[in-house]
Amino acid sequence: MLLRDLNTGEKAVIKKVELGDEKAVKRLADLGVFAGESVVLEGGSKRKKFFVISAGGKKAGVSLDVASAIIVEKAGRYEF
Amino acid sequence: MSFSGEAIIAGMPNSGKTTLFNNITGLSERVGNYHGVTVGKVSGEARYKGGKFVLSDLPGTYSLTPVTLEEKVTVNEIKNTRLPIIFVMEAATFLSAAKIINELVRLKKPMILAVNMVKELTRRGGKIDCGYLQKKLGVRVIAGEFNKKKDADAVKNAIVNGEFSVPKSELDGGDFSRAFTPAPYKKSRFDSLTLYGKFSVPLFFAVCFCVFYITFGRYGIGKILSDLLKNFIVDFLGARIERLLLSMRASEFTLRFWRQAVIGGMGQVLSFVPQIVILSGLITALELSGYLSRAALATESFLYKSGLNGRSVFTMVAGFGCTGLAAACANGLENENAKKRTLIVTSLIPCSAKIPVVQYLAAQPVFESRFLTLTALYLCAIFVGVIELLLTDKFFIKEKRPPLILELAPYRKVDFRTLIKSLKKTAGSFIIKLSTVIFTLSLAVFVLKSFDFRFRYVGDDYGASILYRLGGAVNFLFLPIGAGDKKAAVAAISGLFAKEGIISALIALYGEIIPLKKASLFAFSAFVFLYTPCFTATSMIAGVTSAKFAFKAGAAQFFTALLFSYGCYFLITLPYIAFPVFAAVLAAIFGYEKFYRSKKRKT
Repeated sequence: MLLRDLNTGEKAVIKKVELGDEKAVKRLADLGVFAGESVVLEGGSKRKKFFVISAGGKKAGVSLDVASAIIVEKAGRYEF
Repeated sequence: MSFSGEAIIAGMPNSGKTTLFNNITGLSERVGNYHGVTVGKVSGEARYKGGKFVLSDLPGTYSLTPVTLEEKVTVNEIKNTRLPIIFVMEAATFLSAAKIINELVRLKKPMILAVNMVKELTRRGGKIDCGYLQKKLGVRVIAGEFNKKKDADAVKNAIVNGEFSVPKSELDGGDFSRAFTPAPYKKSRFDSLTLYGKFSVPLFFAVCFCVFYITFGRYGIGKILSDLLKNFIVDFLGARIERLLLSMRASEFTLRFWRQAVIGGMGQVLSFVPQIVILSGLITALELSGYLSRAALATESFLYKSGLNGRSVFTMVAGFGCTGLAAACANGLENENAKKRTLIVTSLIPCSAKIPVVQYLAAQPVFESRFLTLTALYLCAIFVGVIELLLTDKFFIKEKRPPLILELAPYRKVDFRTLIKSLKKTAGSFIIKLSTVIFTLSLAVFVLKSFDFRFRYVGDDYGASILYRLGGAVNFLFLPIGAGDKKAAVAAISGLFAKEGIISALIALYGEIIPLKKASLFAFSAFVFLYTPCFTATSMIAGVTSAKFAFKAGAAQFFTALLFSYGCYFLITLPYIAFPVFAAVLAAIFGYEKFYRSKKRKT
């Protein structure tokens, strides 16, 4: 499934980042968003066109096109 | 033995490097609560307890494999330098910082590890064991809050005492868990309101409005201070010096030069300074608090198609005051294309100098309703803005908008010392930059208005001046809208130097009432509303982008405004023919745009 399909508060493990833009992939990796890392979706929605994820102690905001390019696997819920 | 050489500060973006640098050197480099604030190497000298050393601040990098230009600067410097490094990291991001620390261990660089914002990590429920890190790495580890003098002095002391050492071993997985307990993820209460809430976008606009009103509003502090300064410069200082010149029997030329080039030009610029300082102060405070990156995300829902984001909106808000100032604000945008797109739209926003011109034109007796005329002009600007943004993708910026990825640093209290330091610097650099540019331009306008082509002084004979002749040369452009009497063209050229010049030129040439027909005057007003910003603003746009882009965008805006004014004249005078033609042109533009986008999606 895609990151954009997660619900707020859901935890997931990143399987693949399928972005064509290498710089964007590197920037995501810098923020702790890379294959194998687990992320928590803090908020955002398709309607709002952005998502906020927490990974590796950092919080990152990504646009819908980025959230549509991150393949994840659900790993339960996170209680904020 | 005390250290008296040079050292460099490096670290991840948004870890507090520049704050530490400013606190050690006493300089006031710009700081921000997001990456990309420091874009090049900055050096400063510091003295402490009899020791003297030079410190250089480098842009932040997430690893020693660079992506952006500023990261390349840092990585090259770190890899090639033999200087000791003060590596600054934010306590909460230890796991990410550990990657770079290990890279530095492998490079065998002498270093001090400065761990910033430890209190914040503890407050959020996390923990970092700096003693363990010091023992494991074999380097001096200093923990603290580097916006506080006491903690910055601890780093200074370590530098002066030469406490740099080459780290002895890398950190591994076991060390991570032993030295660091991450803070649990926590949703910020503010984020529920400013980012996810239903009112996040209206709140953003309310913030924009407040920023705008405080700076430019009738009862806003910026406007009040600007008016006071203007009165002081023009009425008090200007009048006294003029009296002195008169008592010295100065020539008419000297007096005119004093009134028009010095007081009219320089006085205007200096009176902008309070507004510039207040606007940049408010935006810096929003940046430092962490709100600006949230705003950029919150506005994504309605800006994502246009290639703009929330930070662009702040630039556009500044555009209502002064396009030149907005161009300076655009410098904070993270991406070159975002900067260009934003500036294209901002150029169409009526600046505070253009507003009185348009109000003057709308108040002409030929128009029945001033309100309706102004509304129609604003609607024209919105329409042209949308068309220009659509055409921008095709002709100016072929590269599509880069994906939006932002680090959202936690909300922080604004450090007023940092804010004041940054404002002092902004005010100083604006006074220097604008004074030189404006003074040169004021001088140029004065020469063009006061001399003929043989460089003879023409005095009040405006019709013989170079400016009037230049107006005659471009007169043909205004023939299609029925304003081909040179005067409109002269006024338009005056507006390229400073928008205020349009009113004075129109009054000098036509008198209080402009004897043009309704259609011609509306078309001319639309042109004035939409055409190229003044040379000062254009030069500021060139400064933050490139001279080529500023010229291309300026020329495109001029011709778009001209074509649009022809369209307006055509629509008013021949509505039955013009409306179908206009609808067909619009359908062609939007149809092509849709086709172009779907083709792009397929490829």
